[in-house]
Amino acid sequence: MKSIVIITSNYAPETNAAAQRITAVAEAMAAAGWRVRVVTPLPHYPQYEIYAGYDGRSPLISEENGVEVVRIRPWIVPRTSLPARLLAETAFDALALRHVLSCPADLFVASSPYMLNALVGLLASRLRRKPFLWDLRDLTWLYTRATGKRTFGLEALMDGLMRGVAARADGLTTVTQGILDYFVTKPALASVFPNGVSDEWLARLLEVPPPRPASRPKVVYAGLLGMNQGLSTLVEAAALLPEADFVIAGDGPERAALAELARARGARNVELTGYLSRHELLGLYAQADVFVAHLRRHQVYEWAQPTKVWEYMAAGRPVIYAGEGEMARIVSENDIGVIVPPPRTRSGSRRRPGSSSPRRSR
Amino acid sequence: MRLLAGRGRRYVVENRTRSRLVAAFVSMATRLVESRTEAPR
Repeated sequence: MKSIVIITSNYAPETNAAAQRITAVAEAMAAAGWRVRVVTPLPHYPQYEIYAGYDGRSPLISEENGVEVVRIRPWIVPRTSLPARLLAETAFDALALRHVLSCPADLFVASSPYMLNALVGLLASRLRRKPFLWDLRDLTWLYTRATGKRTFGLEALMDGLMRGVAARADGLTTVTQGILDYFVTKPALASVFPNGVSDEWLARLLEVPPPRPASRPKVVYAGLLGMNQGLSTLVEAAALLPEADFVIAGDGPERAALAELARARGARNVELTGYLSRHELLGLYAQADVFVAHLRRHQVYEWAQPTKVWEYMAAGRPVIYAGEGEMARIVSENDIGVIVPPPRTRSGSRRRPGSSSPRRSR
Repeated sequence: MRLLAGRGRRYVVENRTRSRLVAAFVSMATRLVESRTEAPR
């Protein structure tokens, strides 16, 4: 029996795109006859609190759908601080390494958005002389500066480090072509592995009935309320459109600030629902007339394909995509919705990310 | 609006079904292990 060890920052019962993606991979590998161990933090995303029922022992080891899952207590820090994130990741990866190495493996896989997971995967691969596959969802190290925060030189350091990992990995998968192309030096086995919608969830989304004519159109955003999304623009738009209702569903570090902005603008047509279950989400999708997705203006976001947009499309509503790049092209070329350029901000540099790195041209 | 809705649904069904994407990943992982077994570094 072949064996695989996966180190990942998210896993079920978390429901974000990263968790759904790697959980599907792990369970598919187990179903294909592989012995699978997953090493991951205790579930805490996107609320940044350990889920109820998981707040006891660490490591917590369980068998789930044929997969051995080793969960380690994470150090929860502000996501917008790159130095704090790196410290927290270092703490997790130091604890995770033992569990990665203690399982005989034919293949090591590291999945982002934790950046340093890739170093653990590469190290284990070299120590055990087995291949390493890096599954990269995000250029996480570039996001802090893209949102206008200081990185104290860590962005350039991490950029060099991550490019070095990509050059030394035996395989590389990325969610978009733009992220794959970002790496000048990469393994021969490198391909795009996009995020998708599970067959079960897709079947339910395809059953969402068409919108009913209503006196007040309902605009819906459902997803992470984070810095990258720049959702203050949506709240500002809602304040200018009192004849429509805006529902912002989900949770994340920007939720309180968005609620405060809606209050300050007197936008009583904005509802922040908080985190919704899948059942609740289906109900919301059925009430929507149009969906909106928003990303800040920066080149790093041009390589993103927000998974929520696939759900929007499957729910059978037009999409307003406030963003640029690959997803904008898909929406536009397939006549799925309307493209709106995101607003220019001080942090919205057009400079190519990582260009300050002396190793950029390697 | 119905035209847009139909196009979005068709795009997802044809291009973003996770089971198909995951099968490609599993295939790649298998190839990686088999290639290492055949030609160890």
